Amino acid sequence: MLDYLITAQTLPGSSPIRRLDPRTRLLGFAGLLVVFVAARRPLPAVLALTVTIALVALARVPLRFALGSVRSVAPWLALIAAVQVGFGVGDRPGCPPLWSWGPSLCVLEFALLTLLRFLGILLLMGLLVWTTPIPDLVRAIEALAMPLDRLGLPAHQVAMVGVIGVRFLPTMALELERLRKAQAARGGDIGGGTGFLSRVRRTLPLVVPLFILSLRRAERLAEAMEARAYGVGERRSHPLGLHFRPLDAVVLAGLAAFVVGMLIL
Amino acid sequence: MIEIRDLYYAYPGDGSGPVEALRGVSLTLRRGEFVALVGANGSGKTTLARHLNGLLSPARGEVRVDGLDTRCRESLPHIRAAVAMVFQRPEDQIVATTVADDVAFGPRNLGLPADEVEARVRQALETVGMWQHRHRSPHLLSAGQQQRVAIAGALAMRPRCLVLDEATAMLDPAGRRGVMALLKRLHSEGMTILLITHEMEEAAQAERVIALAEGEVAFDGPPRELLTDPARLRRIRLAPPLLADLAARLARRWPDFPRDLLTLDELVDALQPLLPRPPAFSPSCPPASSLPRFPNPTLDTSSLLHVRHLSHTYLPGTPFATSALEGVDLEVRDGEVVAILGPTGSGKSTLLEHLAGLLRPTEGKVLLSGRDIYDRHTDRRALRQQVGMLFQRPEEQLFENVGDDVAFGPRRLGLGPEMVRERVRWAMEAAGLPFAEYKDRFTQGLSGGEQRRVALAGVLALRPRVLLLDEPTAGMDPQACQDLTGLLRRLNREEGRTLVVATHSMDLVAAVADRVVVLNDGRIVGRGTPRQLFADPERLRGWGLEPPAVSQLMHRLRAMGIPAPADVLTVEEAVAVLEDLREKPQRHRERRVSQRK
Repeated sequence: MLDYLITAQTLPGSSPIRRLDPRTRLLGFAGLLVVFVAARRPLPAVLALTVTIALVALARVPLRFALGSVRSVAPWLALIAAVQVGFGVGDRPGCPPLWSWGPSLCVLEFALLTLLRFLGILLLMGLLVWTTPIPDLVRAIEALAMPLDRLGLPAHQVAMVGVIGVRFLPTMALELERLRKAQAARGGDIGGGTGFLSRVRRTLPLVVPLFILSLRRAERLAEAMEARAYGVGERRSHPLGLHFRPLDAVVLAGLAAFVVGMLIL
Repeated sequence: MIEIRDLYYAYPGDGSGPVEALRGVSLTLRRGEFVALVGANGSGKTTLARHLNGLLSPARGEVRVDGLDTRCRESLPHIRAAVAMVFQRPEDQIVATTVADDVAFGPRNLGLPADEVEARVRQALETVGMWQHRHRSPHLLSAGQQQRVAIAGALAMRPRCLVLDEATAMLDPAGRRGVMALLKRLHSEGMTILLITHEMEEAAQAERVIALAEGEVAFDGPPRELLTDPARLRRIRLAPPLLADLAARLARRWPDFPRDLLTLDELVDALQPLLPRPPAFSPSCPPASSLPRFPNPTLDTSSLLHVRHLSHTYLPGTPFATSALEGVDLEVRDGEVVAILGPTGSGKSTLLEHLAGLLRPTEGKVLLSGRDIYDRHTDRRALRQQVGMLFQRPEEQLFENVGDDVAFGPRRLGLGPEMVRERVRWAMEAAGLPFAEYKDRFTQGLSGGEQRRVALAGVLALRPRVLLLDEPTAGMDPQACQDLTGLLRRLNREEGRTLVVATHSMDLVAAVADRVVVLNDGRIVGRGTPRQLFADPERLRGWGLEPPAVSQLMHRLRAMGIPAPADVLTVEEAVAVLEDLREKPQRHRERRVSQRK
C-alpha cells in the first residue's frame, strides 16, 4: 500500500517550469488536456504532443524517466490501436482505403489520434505530478476555486474536501494496514484458500471497523476545523505561497492562444 | 475573560433518555490564569471545554467570552479567535498538507490579508520551535511535533485563551515535557491557559485546579489543597500524584512532617534535615548492583521467544527507506514480564509486530520455542494461538457488538459454536467483563477503559501463551490505568501468561515488569531489572524517558549524602526506606530494599 503511494512523486531539482505559479501549471495542464480530448483530427493532437514534449524537456525531466512511464503502457496502446483498426472504428462512408484492400484512411487516422491522445495525456499527467508537489497542487486548486464561490457555487468546500482527502490518504492507508495486522494477529489471516472468494471473506471484517474509524475521525476533524473558525467568517483569505508573476501571464496567454487555435483547427 | 453561569448540558442517550454531562456548572476564568481541569472519564471535562468557544451551546445557563454570549452566531468569529483549542489527537486536527499551510488555516478562516497570515504563521511556528519544519508533511512528524504544530495552529489565531483537551495524553515523556515548558512560557507572556489532563503531576504545575465529578464542580482552588488530599481525590475517582501520596503517608507516621508537600523540591527540603548523613557515604559512587549493564543476552535455548540479530528496514530500495530496527537481540522466558521502553519512533511497535509474526524481518530471526516463526513451514494457526497482540488504541478497531468482537478470533480458528461461546466467556471474565452483562452491549456505548478491556478479551480469546501489548494504558484515566495494570498482573501471576509490554508508563513498568529493555533509534541501549534502570535517572532522561518520581527523590537525597538506596520502585517501598533511614541512624551502611519476589 505504502509502496504504491510513493510511485507518483515529485522529482527533485529545479527548472523553468517549476518557477511558474502552480496555478499556471494547473491551468496549462487543463488547456492541453482539452486539446487532446477535443481533437477530431491528428494534427492538433500532434501539435499538442509536441508542446507537451517541449514542456517535459523544459521541466528537465530525464527523457529516459518520462519514456519509462509510457513504456509500461505501450503494449496496451498497441492493443487498443489494433482492436480499433480491426473493428474499423471511426470509418466513414466514402472514405478511400489505403490500398485497394485493408482499412480505410479514416480508420487509420482515428487509431493514430487515439494513440496520440493517450500518449499526450499520460505525459501531461506525468509532467504535472513530476513538477508539482501535492501541497502546491492543493493550494492552486483552492485558489482557483475561490472566485467560483462568488457565483454561489460551493467551490471552495469542494476544494476543501479534496485537500482533506489528500491530507488523510496516507493516514487512512496506515490505519487500514494497522487494522489488517491487528486482525491477522487474531487469526484473520488463517483458514480459507487464496481464491477470490476467500480473499473477499477476509476483507469484509475490515469494512465495519474502518467505517466506524473514519466516521469518528471525520467528527474529530470537523470539530477541530470549527474550533479554528472554519465557516464562521465571511470569506476565507487566499492560500499562502502563490505568486503570479509576469512570466505566468505570458505563458498563460501563449497557451490560451494555442488552445483556441487548436480548437478552431 | 470567560464566565460560565449555571451551565447544563445533556447528550441524547441510547434509548434510556438523555445523558446529563454537565449539571449546574458556574465558573469564572480570569485573564492570565493557568488553570488545570481534572476529573475521571465521563465527568464532563470535554463537554465543558467544548462550551468555552461555542462548539457546543448550553442547554441551560450561559457562557460568555469577553461578555459575548456563545449562543450568538455573530459573536463566533470573535469567540473562536479569542479562545483557541488544541485536542487530544494531533493527527486529527491537522488539516493541510504542509506544516505552514496548516498553521495558516485558522487565520485564513478569519479572512486576514496575506501578509498578516504569513506573519502570524511565522511567529506561531517560531514560538513552538517548528519553523524549520514548515515545508514538511505533518504525517511524517512525531506525535510531539504534530502536537506542537497543532498548538501553533491555535496560536496563529492570536487567542487570549488556550484550551488544551488532554493534549499531552498521546505523547511520550519528552513530548510532554516540551509541551508543558511551552505552556509555561506562553502563560508567563500573559496567555490564559486551561489544561485538561489526567496527569496530576501536570495539574500540580497550574495556579488553580478545577475538578469535575459527575458534571458538577467538585473542587475549585489551589492545586496544593486538592492534590495533597489523597482521600478527597479518591472520592472523585482520581489518584494523587505519587510524591504527594508519599508525603501524606510520611506525615501520618511522623507528626513533625508537613502534610501538604507537592513537588520534588519541597519533599527534598523537608526530608533533608530529618535524615542523617554518614560521613563515609559517597554519593558519586552508586552501588555496584544499580549500575546499568549491557550484558550479552545469555543464549538460553529454553527461552520461549528468542530474537536474534533482528533488523528491519521500511520501504527498502526506495529513497524513503528507513531503518526501524538494527541488530536487536532479545529473549523472553516462559512466564516472564518484559517491558520495552523507548521514546516514540524508537522501534517498539516494530519489534512487537515481529514477535507476533506480522512483519517479516529484513535480517535476523525470531524463534518461538526454538522454531523460526518466519519459516515457510510454520503453521500460522498454531502461531496465532501461541502469540497474541494488543495494538495501540485497540478500541478504535472494535466491531459493533462486544460478543461478536471477542468471538472473532475463535471463529477464525474454526471452533464450533459451543467452543466459541466458552472461549468468549472465559476471555471476557479474564478481562474483567462479566459475560452475561456485557456480551450483547454495543462497543460504542462503553467507557474508554471498558472498550480497551473488550479489545484485550478479543486477543485473550485465542488463549495465547505470550501476550504482546503496545501501550496498554496510554490515554486512560488514572482509575482505568490502575484497573488495567491489576488485570495484566493477574494474567501473568495467576494465568501464567508471558507478557511483553511496550510502554511509556514507568508506573506500569514498576508494577508489572520483571525485566526491561530500552530501545533508542532501533537499537537496544539498555537492559536490566526495573530497579537497575530506575537507579540511573540521568541515563533514562538521556533516552527521552522520565524516571519515576520516587527514584528521582532517592537520587536527589543520595546527591546530598543521604544513603538512600537508588533502586526504589514504589511509594510503599519509599515509605519503608525513609522510615528505616530516619529511625536507624546508627547503621551507617548502604541499605537496600529486599528484592521483590
